[in-house]
Amino acid sequence: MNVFGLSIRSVLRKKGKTILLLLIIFITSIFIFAGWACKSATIQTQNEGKQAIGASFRLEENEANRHERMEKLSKEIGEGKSGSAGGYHKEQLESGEWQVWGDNSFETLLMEDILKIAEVDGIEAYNITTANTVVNPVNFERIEDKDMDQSSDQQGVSLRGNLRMELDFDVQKGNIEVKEGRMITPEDKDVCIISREIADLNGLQVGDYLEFNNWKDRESSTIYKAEVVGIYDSINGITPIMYGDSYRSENIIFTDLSFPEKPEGNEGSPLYQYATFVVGDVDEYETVKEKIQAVDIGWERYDFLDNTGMSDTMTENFGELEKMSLLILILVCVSGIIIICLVFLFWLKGRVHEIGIYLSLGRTKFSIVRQMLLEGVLVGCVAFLLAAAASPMVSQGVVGYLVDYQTQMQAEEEQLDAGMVSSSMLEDDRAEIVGITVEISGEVVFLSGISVLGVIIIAIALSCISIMVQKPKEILSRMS
Amino acid sequence: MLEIKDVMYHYKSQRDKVILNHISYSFERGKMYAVLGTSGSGKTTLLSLLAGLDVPVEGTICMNGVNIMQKGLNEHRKENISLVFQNYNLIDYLTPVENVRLGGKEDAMSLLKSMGLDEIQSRRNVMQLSGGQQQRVAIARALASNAPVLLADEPTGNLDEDTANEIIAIFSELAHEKNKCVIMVTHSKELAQKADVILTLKKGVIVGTEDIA
Repeated sequence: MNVFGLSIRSVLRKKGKTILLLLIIFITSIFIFAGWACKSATIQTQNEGKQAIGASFRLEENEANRHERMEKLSKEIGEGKSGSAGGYHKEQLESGEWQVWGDNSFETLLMEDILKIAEVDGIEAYNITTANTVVNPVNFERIEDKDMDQSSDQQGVSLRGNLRMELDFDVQKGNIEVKEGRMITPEDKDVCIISREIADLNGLQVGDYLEFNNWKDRESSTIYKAEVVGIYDSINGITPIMYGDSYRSENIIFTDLSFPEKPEGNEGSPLYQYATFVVGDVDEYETVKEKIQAVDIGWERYDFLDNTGMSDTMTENFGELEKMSLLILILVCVSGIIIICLVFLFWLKGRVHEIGIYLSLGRTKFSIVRQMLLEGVLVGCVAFLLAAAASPMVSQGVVGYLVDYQTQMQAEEEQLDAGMVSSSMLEDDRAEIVGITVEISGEVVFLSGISVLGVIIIAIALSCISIMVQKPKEILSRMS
Repeated sequence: MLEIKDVMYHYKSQRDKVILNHISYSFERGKMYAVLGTSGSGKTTLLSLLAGLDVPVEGTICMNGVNIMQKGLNEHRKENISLVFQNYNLIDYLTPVENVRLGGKEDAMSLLKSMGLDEIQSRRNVMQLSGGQQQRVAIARALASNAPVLLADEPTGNLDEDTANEIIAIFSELAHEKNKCVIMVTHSKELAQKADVILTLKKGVIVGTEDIA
């Protein structure tokens, strides 16, 4: 009778031991599956994450440079003197205190700089977003919380201009959706998109006109009209940038790029807060970044946020996830080896009798170890098939748990970083980390199979060392 | 045929306690030997050395004039030796037929039939057989290899008198009709009388050789 025949008979006829081993290898296999699936899911998430971010760059004002410019212009005006220079204004109040502020020309991103970057080879599209500008609603009512104290509020609505509304970060993020009408394009002039709440409150429809003027001079300032071309629904809402109903999500009205400056009383002097540049080919991201950095503009004036920075944050977090997957794999494999090894050692103790008989019949120790290995592999094959059937569910659960853990860790880190980094951008990232799918691909099955086989072979080989080092007579004397 | 020459054996851990003290003897085919002796006299150790399960500290064991170490102990056990133990030593998850097939290529069913087991008994689990039947299976397995030497360690120790006599009769038949060399370790002087030659061991030395024939 050959080794295979003996192994089959041993496995089939020693049911208790076989079921115990089957259970152990099944559990080990499940976790090995989960580990490999988790690793593969991680990579998938990273890629998807990068696509979701859209491989874009963002330009915004550098706060430190703003202060430097203010100091410089203040000196230009003169110590202890009121006056204006380069969009910077300094005025001594009656109380003796100084009031300083920058107008739109001082605060804005420069259009010529934005256009230079937009012309860089590899930039597929770009968007400019104005600062939220509070204006007075002339012929409609805003949404208000009547119970709130509105005394310090400007009693207005916020206008946000966009060159291409589809690239606005709240649209990209899925916080709002234009369900009626259309979005704003670069060709538009004097158009707006209002919230469903404002539309319902005022009975407004697409095609109606809204009127706005300066909130500081509600009675006599020029009124500007904008046609309603769309109505948006809030999905997650827009995070208000300041306290007060003027900034509440429902009162944000999207307009074409040049509209907000008009009712504010600054026509011809826009306040561009952000510029976003979308890279056409994600794989060219780094090359495009280098080209942008080579553009001859006054970079000291800007913060250039490359999304690689944010991707890196994600990669770092999901790199941690990958490390955790690897750790799970190592832990499962090592514990699997130890447990199976111990089970086999215990099992071999009960099989001394059988081993002694084989030795007395002239079988070599190698042949006996081969039989043990074959038995383990046979049971392992069945356990592996069962684990393969159950693995999608278990793997999804394990990956879900790890992602939740990582997301929680990321959130905690962000809390610690609060006030140190641009929170809105980080929120963009976090929103994209949902919906991870775990696929048990052929590669995962193959790698899991190899791992399980390795665990079984190592465990059994280790446990069989005791057979290899003993003399046949010692084994036979243990028999008796 | 199977010869021990000046064999000395002691355990590694107890060098001062000699188990076999420079003994020599030559076993022939066609004869049945009984090795008698008290506990600790070295009977089982002698059997282990003859079976190639262990090696002597000094001296040699030769099979047909060739040192068994030269050919390899596994090969020696496989080709020359059949072992029958007191506690039968059958594989518990195999049937009698399958156990006999472990021994060699001889027709297992015929061997079992010649040992008095029918087909139904031969195909049930080996642990469901009686002690005598299990020992018959063990002997059938020993015969399956067609080895010239049959070593039996207290083969009737667990059997009743009638069954023991039957087993001894089988051994005698194997020696005389199948021309095998049967070496049987036993405590029983009565059973030993049924052998052709009785070797008496005392404190590792052969103190007596009695040729019954």
